[in-house]
This record gives sequence, C-alpha cells and structure tokens, in this order.
Amino acid sequence: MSVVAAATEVMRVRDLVVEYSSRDGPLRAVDGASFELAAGETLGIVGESGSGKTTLAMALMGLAEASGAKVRSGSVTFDGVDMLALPSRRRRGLRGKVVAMSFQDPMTSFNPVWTVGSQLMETIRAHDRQATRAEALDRARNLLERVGVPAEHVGLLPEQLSGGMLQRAMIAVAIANQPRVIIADEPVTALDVTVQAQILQLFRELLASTGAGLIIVTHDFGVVAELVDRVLVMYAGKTVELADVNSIFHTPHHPYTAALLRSRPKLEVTIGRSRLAAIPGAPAGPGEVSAGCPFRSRCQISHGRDICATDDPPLVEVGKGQLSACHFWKEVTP
Amino acid sequence: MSERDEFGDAHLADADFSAPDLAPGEIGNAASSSSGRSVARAFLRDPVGVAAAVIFVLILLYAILVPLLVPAGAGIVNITSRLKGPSLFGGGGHSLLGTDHLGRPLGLTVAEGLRTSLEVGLAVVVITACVGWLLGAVGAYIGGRVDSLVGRLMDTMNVFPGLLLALAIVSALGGGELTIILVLSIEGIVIFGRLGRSITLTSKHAEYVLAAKAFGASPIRILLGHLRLTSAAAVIALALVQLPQVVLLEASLSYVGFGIQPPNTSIGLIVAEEQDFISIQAWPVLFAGGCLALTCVSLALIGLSVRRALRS
Ligand SMILES: Nc1ncnc2c1ncn2[C@@H]1O[C@H](COP(=O)(O)OP(=O)(O)OP(=O)(O)O)[C@@H](O)[C@H]1O
Ligand SMILES: [Mg+2]
Repeated sequence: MSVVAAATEVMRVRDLVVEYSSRDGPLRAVDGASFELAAGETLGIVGESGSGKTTLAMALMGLAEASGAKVRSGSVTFDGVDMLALPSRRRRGLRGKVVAMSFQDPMTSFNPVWTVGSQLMETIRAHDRQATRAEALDRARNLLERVGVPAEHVGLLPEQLSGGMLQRAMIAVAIANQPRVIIADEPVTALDVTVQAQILQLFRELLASTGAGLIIVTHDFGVVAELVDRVLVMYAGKTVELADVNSIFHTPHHPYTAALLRSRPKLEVTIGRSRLAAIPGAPAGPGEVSAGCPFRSRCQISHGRDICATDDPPLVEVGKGQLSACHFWKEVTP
Repeated sequence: MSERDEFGDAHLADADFSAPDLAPGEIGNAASSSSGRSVARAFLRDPVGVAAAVIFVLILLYAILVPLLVPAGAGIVNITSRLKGPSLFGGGGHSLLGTDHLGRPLGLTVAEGLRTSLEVGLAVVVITACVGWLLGAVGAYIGGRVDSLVGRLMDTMNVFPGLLLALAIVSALGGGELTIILVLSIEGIVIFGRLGRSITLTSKHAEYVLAAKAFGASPIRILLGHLRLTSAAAVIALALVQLPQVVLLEASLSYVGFGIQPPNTSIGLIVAEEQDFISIQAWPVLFAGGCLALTCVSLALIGLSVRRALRS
C-alpha cells in the first residue's frame, strides 16, 4: 500500500463474513468481502437481487445484528479503528457521524407518524446534544434545501412527500452529521428516470463539496457508468470481481460481470421485463453451492470443466487493480 | 420489495412471543398509519361521537364550575330542609336540584362527587397509560431477561382479582383519594403494559428503527421518539376505553364503602348514602346514578367513535 493511498483511505474492509441463521443451518449472505475506500471515491456494489448487497451494507454500518444477521469474521475499519470490535455504545458514536447510510426503501425508513423534519432533527441531535430545538430545526431546514426539498416540507409526514422527495430527505438524513463515508442502498431504483438523474447529480455535488467516500449499491449499470469509480460485483454473497469502472466495462474478467453487462437493457429492449433475464438460470442463493464455483451452472465459459465443480475460484489479481474469481478469467469476452 | 418482506417475516419468526399478548392489530396497526388531523376529521363526521363529546363536556363543566360558582356556605348541613325535591321541576324546595339527606343542595353534592370520580378516573388512566406503556415497551425493546422480568411482574400484578386486592389495600391504608388511585392503577398498568409490549415487539424491527440506529440514535431516543409515537394512537384509544371503566370501578368501590370516605365524596358514595332514604325520596339516587351513567356512556361512546376514526 502506497503512502499516498494510506493517507486518503477512509475505510477498509477485510474478509467480512455475514450469516443469517435459518432452519437448515447458517446462511452465508456475505462470504469474505474485502476492499478499501478512499476519500472522495465512489465504490459501486452490483449484483442480482439476493446476492447480499443490503446485508453487506448493513454489516458495514455495524448493524448486522440489528437486522437479524451475524458477523462471523472480518473487520470494518475507519481511521484504524475496527468498528465491529467496538462496544455498542462506541459503535453508535460512529454511526451517522463517520459512516452513514441511506436505506433501500425511503417509504419504510421514515416513521409514518412522525414529521420528516422532526426525524431529521432527531438525527442532528443524536450527535449534537448541545443543539437546541431551534438550532436543530434551522439545520434541518438547511439540510432539506441542500438536497432540493423545499424547507417548508419539514412539517410534513412521510406519506405527504413523493418518492423522489423522500429519497432526497433520506439523503439529508445520511449527510446530516457530515459523515466521511456514505452508504446508499439502491438510492434510485424506485424512481423514474428524470428523478434518477437529479438524485445522481445531487450525489455528485455532495461528494464534490464534502469529499466523503460513497458506497452505492445498485443493480443498474447506468448508475455505475454515471457515478462510480470502482465496482465490486457480488454473486451469491461472494465478491466475483473488483475493478475500476473502465476495466469493468471494457475488459471484464468474470463471466458473471460479462453476462450482467450483456443483459443491460438497451434502448430498443422492451421495458417491464426483468433486466437480467438474459442470464440463463436462476441466481444461486447464498450457501446454496457447497463446493466449486457458485456461478458454474449459469456460466457460459465453464463448459462443464471439472475444476469449476470442485474448486471454488479464489479472488486473484488479474490485471492492474483488477481482481477476479474465475479459473478461466482469460477466456472472458466482454 | 421482496427483500423487505423477507425481513418482516424473518423478524416475526425471530421474535419470541413467550406470553400470549394483546394483539396490537385492530387499533395499533391501523392507528399508526393515519395522522392526527385526519383522525379528528373522521371523528367529527360521526354524529354519535360528537353528541357524546358534547354531553361529556357539559358534565365536565357542571362538575368543575358548580362548586366554584356556588356561594360559600351553600353546602352546609341544613336538617330542616332534608330530601326536598328539585324546585326546578316544582318540587317545593329552595334548591334547583333538590337537597340530599343532610339538607345540602344536591346539585352541589353531586357536582363535587362527579369531580372526585373524574379526577380519580383521569389520574388512573394517565398513570397507567404512562407507567404501563413504558414498562411494557422497555421490556420488549431490551428483550431477554428484562422482558421476562417485566412479564413476571405483570403476571404477579394480574394474579390478584382487582376488587379483592382493592379491598385489602383500602382496609390497610384507609380510603384516601390517593389510595384509590393507587389501587385502581394496578390492573391498568398490566393492560397498558401488554399493549406497549406487543406494539414494541412488532415495531422494534421496523425499518425506521433500523434507520434510526444507522444515524446513531440511542435506545432511549428510539423508545421515547419513534416507539412512543408509533404507540400513541393505540394507547389513546385504549385510554378512552379504560376511562369509563375506571370511573365505574371507583364508584363501585366507594359504594361498598371501600373507596372515597366522608367528608370527601364521590358519586358511588352519594348513591350509597342516599339509598337509605329511597322510600322517602328517590330523586337523589336517581340524579346521582343518572349522572354517573351518562358520564360512563358518553365516555364509552367517545371511545368507540375515536377507535373507529383511528381505523378509517
Ligand atoms: N433477515 C433475514 N433472514 C434470513 N435471510 C435473509 C434475511 N435478509 C436477507 N436474507 C437472505 O440473504 C440473502 C441476501 O439478501 P440481501 O437483502 O442482502 O440481498 P440484496 O442483494 O440486497 O437483494 P436486493 O437487490 O433484492 O435488495 C438473500 O438470499 C436473502 O434471502
Ligand atoms: Mg437490497
């Protein structure tokens, strides 16, 4: 690790393993995630539904237990401090202040019987106990305006705001205490295209003005192309490829990445159908595959070779800053 | 979307509903999705509820204002004019609403009795709602040993039949207003505790609670902010149902002599005292009993109407 990179690194994740318990034993939803994030950098986490993106995001917030999962091993380090090793009270001090998150579904992430402004004030006062009600209200109004929500909306209930407005309010909650890392779980998936563009623009402005690192969870390569510097591709809880955005688009080295890219909706494709329908077979659930490569049953380059069924491919460096978990990464064509 | 469903199901399965609980359903869930203003609007559209509210406000004004407005000394014992009928209906006496068995104006006695009854009722409901909800919510939120401790406490409180316990406590401590409030609160705390517990069990895994944790909210702030507001509508609805019942319970206690003691008075005590003279003059019993009935019926109807409004 170079000195420069070390100076700007804001977050480091090592070998993170997260499991849910189920009737048939533990369900490994995140299986060994490792990456680091630099200040001002945007990391995209992509993968099909159920690949473990939200579970990973929750674990990065130190909220795995609160959402019903369990961290088996690994570390999530901010400024040399492993959040997961901290007692809950100190963990709470980091949440919102060092690392903050905007949730996948803003409709359910606000309390329906509490005004958006009050919930925003609650956020502000969670880390600034000295702030009076009036100060908190003032800051809440400023925050709303900053993310493009009219300040008068402070007194409205969540149900009185549109989906786009609520998503913005959710982002206001995330940036309320100037965190150094923002995690955004599918921030634009539920929105129509014009609003999507506005929200992405908002993220760009916020990153430029705050220098925070952003982790954006999405299954939309459009979002990746627009906003992201580096991409982590997840499949069945595993990181199958990690590379900068140009390598991902031009020289993908994992058949799953290539398949995802091919299944991107082109303009002439009818909308309404599943975006990933072009990948044959159903996505493997976490832990469904016991030995071998989890992607092999849907893989178009495996051709039933033995090693794919017996050996789980390790994540190895295949190019400059590009990691892939495929035995035959050289055979992948974009 | 599907991801959220999985969350919900998983957590319902996770949550350990060890004790059979009051379902939050009916009032709890519906209530949490509507805002105060729309509830008020729905309430005002219901003529029964509005009429009941008007009647209750009139009773309240009567109980509060009459003791304040009647000139001092009007309430003294006057043996010469006992048990007179109301002059209002041409009963021959000097008092608008007749006199009681000690010759005091009945309008004043009953107003004072009503005020005590309502005071006790309101105090009990407010105390039980706050204490009960907090106990149940804290237990359910923390879970584990704290939850079972709270559960056991409530079970213990619930073992004794309410009236029997009341009799025991009143005979030990004497029947002051505070004792009565204490006695009547025991059962209510359990009822509100169960409500607080069941709402908290279902909403503590809500995504907005997770979101609050994600910005660093402390458990206390989550309880007193999110979960208090989520419970508010259901607690208010239950309080409105409880209020007439507590008023009636206090009246029964006082009626059998284990409630409010003279010289203080309450509706139950008035009925008990005046019924000895019922063959001479039935009016005081009828009037006092009628006021009590009207109070309880109007409160019950308000409660029903508010619940309906919360569900709409
Ligand atoms: N509370 C839970 N209990 C048990 N299993 C869960 C729970 N939540 C999620 N899972 C499982 O963990 C896996 C990963 O889920 P996760 O929500 O992280 O996926 P995701 O990539 O965010 O999907 P989506 O794109 O639909 O949001 C899924 O297979 C899911 O079934
Ligand atoms: Mg998700």
